[in-house]
Amino acid sequence: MNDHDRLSSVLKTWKHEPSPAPGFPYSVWSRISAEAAAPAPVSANVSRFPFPLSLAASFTVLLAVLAGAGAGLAFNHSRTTDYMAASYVRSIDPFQMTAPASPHTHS
Amino acid sequence: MKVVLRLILLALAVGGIAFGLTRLLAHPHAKTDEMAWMKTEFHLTPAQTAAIEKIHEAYAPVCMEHCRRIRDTRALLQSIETAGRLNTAEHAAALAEMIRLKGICHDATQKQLEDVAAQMAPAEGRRFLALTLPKLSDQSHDGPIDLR
Repeated sequence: MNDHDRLSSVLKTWKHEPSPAPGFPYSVWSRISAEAAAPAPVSANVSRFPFPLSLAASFTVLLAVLAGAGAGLAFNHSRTTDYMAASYVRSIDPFQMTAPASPHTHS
Repeated sequence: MKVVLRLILLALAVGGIAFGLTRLLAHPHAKTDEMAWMKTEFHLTPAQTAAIEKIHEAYAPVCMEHCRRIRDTRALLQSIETAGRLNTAEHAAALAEMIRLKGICHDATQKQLEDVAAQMAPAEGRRFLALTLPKLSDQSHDGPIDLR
């Protein structure tokens, strides 16, 4: 048996057991408690709800989208109606038609 | 309670964004043809549309004549004012003619609107008049005249 063979057999049976770093349990617990104490981002706070409320939250958001879009459409319709009524009157009212800035004129 | 408040805030924010986006994306004033707008807005039938178009055709020469007389009187008034002949009988006569024309045009336009409304379903006609009558150039014949 030469030196290489002896070293090989020693390495096969050798076990290394490192001793724990000083204060290891303490550092683990302090990191856990620090994470728990840190405030969550605002977006997470606003959008995260406890489980029983998640369905209600989704439903409320859906309703809010529908209400907002509906109000936007109603507002646009009201503006368009008012604008078109004024435009129609301008097209038949001689006083408004002959005003210098009027887009309606008789050819 | 905190959760409910968050939910209300979220709903308000989402609703506001939806309102803004809808206003931005659905362009108002996209329709420019008044007749096409009236057809859809007041649910006109083809017969009602044809009748209103006939009224428009009959009114066109009347409107043209009123426009011509207003332009002539405006030009006369401007020439009198440019020449500095204010407070003369000529100026007073031109001003009186303008007031008379204003009354005639107001009445003719109002009658035109009422004739158009009469072709619509009663409720639509009332809505049409409520929308259009306040937009006439002047509600009374005694108001100040825009001479420009």
